[in-house]
Amino acid sequence: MIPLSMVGGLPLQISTGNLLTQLLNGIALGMILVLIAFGLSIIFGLMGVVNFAHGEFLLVGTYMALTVFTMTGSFLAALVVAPIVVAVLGAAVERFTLRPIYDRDILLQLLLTFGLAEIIRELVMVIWGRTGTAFPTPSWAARTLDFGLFTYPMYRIFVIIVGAVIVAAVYIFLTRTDTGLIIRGATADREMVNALGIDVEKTFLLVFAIGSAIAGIAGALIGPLRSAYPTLGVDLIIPAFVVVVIGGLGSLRGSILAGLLIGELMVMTGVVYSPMSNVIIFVFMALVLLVRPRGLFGREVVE
Amino acid sequence: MPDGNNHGTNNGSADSTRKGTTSLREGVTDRRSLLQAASVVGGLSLAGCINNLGGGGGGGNSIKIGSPLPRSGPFASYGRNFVNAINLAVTHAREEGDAGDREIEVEFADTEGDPDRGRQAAQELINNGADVLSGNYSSAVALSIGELAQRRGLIYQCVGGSNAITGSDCRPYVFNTGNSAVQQSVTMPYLLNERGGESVFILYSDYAWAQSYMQWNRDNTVPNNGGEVVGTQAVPLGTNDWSQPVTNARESGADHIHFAVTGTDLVRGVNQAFEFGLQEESIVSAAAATLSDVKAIGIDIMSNENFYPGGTSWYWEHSAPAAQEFSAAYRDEYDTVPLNFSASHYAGTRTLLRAIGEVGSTDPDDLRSELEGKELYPQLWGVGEKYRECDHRTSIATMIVQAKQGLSQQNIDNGDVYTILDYPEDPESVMRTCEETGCQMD
Repeated sequence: MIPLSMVGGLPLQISTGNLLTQLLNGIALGMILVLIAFGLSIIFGLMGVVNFAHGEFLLVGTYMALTVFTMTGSFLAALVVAPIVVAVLGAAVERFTLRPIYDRDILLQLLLTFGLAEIIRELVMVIWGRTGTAFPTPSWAARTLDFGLFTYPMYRIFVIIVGAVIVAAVYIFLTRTDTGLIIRGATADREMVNALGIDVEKTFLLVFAIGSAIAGIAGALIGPLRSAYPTLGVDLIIPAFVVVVIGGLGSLRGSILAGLLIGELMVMTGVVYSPMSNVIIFVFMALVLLVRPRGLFGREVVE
Repeated sequence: MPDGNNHGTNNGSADSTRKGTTSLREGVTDRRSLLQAASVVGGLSLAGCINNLGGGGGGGNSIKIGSPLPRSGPFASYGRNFVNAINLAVTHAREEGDAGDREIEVEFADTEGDPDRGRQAAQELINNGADVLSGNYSSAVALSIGELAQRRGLIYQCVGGSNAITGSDCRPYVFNTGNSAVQQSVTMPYLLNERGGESVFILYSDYAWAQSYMQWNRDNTVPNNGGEVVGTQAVPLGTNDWSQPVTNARESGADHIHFAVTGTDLVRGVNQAFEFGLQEESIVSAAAATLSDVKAIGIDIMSNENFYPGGTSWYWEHSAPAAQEFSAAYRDEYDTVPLNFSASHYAGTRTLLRAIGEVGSTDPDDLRSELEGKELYPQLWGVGEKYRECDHRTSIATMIVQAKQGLSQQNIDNGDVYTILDYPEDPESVMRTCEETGCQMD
């Protein structure tokens, strides 16, 4: 027997207010996916490193943010401190574990980041406990905003705005500034950039720190939506990888578009037939890869 | 040590082996250490032989309990609490001679909360010589291990709310010490009667227990108490983003929004429902929130007057004397409070061990006859709870709870959170009749 809501939830019978709310839900979810995928994509696109520990960087961001938020009472302080701590963690990981194996088999990188993920998660459990902890919504955002036709939680609007600002800022930094030019140059031809007297090692360290910092911000922003618990990173990293693959490995534009697309896809599938809402992204990924194996914006060959 | 005595003994033997091999490596010329090492190694392998002989034999002088529990995955935090409960049951059974003078051993295996993985874990335990099986968390796992236990001829003590376990899929060797989805359906009647309102929207996880629970509420308990279920939505297990289902529930405008969801899913679902302001127009309730869920749901939501964490199959502050005694012993030993199903696994395991003591073997048919109609020991509910003969479900009473007045963060950290509002004195009155269960055992 089909539950009533599945029939009642068909788009044809949905009220305008409800439809707009669901569209906004898709954007909010999409923005979260974009934020997680963006850090992954920067690190992969510019350094060729698939960072399996990215979810755990995010997890550290969530717990750091919770600690700062609890201590200071200021969520904005948490939003600043969390990415800094995670950037330092990321930089340390790059400097001391990844750097020595850049020229070795890529399998080593996968094993390394996978192992780091386990270690970081265990450490998080040792420090902050094995069971989940509530992450309160900052009081200034713990209300719904009235848009006439519908009301919407203020905190989700805040997440959409902050997410958009960060993605835009990093994108502009990478494409429009001198440092961004060097970073992209170092990726394209490491030896040539080195020969020009630019320290490529420092550049890679910077890229990894930026990618990690974005994970830290994402972790802090996600806290009030999902609460803090040890498998948060694992839960989020799989859809984020799907976003990166659909967007095209290494393409920043692709990650942004694919993230928003998947957010809407999951929410709208939920509206029509909710048991499918988690599976749909894998179906969609399979279809995209069949039609366009390199993803939406992927380059033909990824070096 | 959170894992209790079983873990302890394991560590002990690992240490002695290590000592043995080190002395071997350091100098074979030292005759004394060589002899020591040889005796350690010999002793270990001999112990191994004895284990193998005892396993599956049943009539021997030792009993091995195989305990499949979720030690990782979404229910890992429950799993740790259950491990303690089963270890404590074994300790107390040894002290009080539940199974006569037999040695009692327990081995744990990780189900990861997943039915396929759970069946593999149970299979490993059986291969390692388990005589009986005791433990699980989810209904889906209980169903999958139950099938295996029946086929391999072992008694299996489990929990699980799905009506199928003690209904359409009931099995002669499977005994359920938890409450069923029907027994759990006490929250909505209480709320409809005490807080008023008529329309109910149910969000439920898309798996065995929650489906059973949703259907029983929709077709029986809600209409029987003057309410109407105006909508339901299945939400996949492991859903992170609840904005879509929560928006759907809000759109229904129902007086009650009810979550048939557990674990981290419930935490996220309720948090996001509050984010969308559902508590402003509706009463938000859950079917069953365990103490670890409560901590993650947080004090703001817990102490909201429009939130009810639902029914719990047991609460550690319950006034029954045996419950007080069990809670005190558990807290002394593990420095944390026992969860509801820890009471089930504790009483279920001890009752099973006493049955073995009485029939003098682990023969599944003898044990089945002994357990049918047997009162649980100890009586942690204090309502004369027993395994019903017709479906092997215990007649335990689900307690309807709400957050304590003036709940503090310290209360939450200590698991000291609930006031018991009500519970049925005659638990059989809220169970299906034997005919209604549809259980047919040979």
